[in-house]
Amino acid sequence: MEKATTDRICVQVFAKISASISHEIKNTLSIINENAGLLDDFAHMAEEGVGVAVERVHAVTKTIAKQVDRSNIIMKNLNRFAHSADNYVAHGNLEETLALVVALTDRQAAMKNITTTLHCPPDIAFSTYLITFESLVYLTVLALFQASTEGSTLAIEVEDETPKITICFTVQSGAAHPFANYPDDDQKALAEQIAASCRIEENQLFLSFPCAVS
Amino acid sequence: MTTIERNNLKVLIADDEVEFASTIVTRLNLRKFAATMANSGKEALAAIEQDPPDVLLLDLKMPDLDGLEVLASLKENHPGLAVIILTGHGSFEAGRQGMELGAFDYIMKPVDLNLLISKIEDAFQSKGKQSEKTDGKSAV
Repeated sequence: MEKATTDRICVQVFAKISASISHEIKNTLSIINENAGLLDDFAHMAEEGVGVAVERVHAVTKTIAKQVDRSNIIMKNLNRFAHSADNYVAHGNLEETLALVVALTDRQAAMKNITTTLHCPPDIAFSTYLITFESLVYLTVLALFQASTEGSTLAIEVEDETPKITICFTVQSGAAHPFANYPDDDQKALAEQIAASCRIEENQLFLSFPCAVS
Repeated sequence: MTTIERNNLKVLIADDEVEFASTIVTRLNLRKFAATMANSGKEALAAIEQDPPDVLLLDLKMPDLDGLEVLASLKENHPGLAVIILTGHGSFEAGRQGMELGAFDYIMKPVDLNLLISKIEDAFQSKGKQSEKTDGKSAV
């Protein structure tokens, strides 16, 4: 597969993630904006001699601080993903990388009330085309969300089978064929670049790839 | 904050961001609206069935039923309900799409409360409910 093709797919994934993150940031800013406005309302009420309980003011400032923390985490995740493209082939910690991709799909999971669990040994290091790998996992997770019914669970488990690593995605949902359309052309192209192969067994998808790309 | 005509003007805010919806509710109620909230599309439809609001503020991105699905259902079952779309999208496209489905107007997040209030009042008046409410009040 041509590198130009995988680059295009990675750019599309980056655009999709940016759109989702900017939407989330708009939500946190909206909450901060409304709570700042509410503090202003309280100040006007105090000026007019209407007492405002201190607890109400504390509750508002606590909400603002919480949303600032939330925004910070969201932006940190986007920043980490953006830096995945710094080096063509990068070394990484698999657990941290998968946790990042899962975090980037949080909003889509929430939209369908899907719970994602991740179990990965903490010490697996790997070396691959990092942004390609992250894009493949991202598109895989989104495809599984799409095929899952509301309230499903997606379990992601990793097995270290050095010199290869296998990620098992298990869908617990009422969907009859959650992997019917997997992999599509984009997923195939990304998998090919990192020398990954996939195998499907009932409600499980196994994605295997070398610990280090040659 | 003291507009008497707003008394009992019922506003339902349907948004899955609980802290956003609850703060808007508090701020509108401080301004003499009777605002309540629903945190999903299904919850919004149930609330409308139980006690139809005068104006619905509807977020487009919600779990279970999204805003456009809610609009489609309202078009069939509550065609007279005034709806203002709340959108976190960067473009006007989503708002326009909602208006094509019968929404009165849209407003982008973060919200300017004064602008929102003026849109709520316009939406209410456009549905011709203002006179009904005044009649109701004078009868009491």
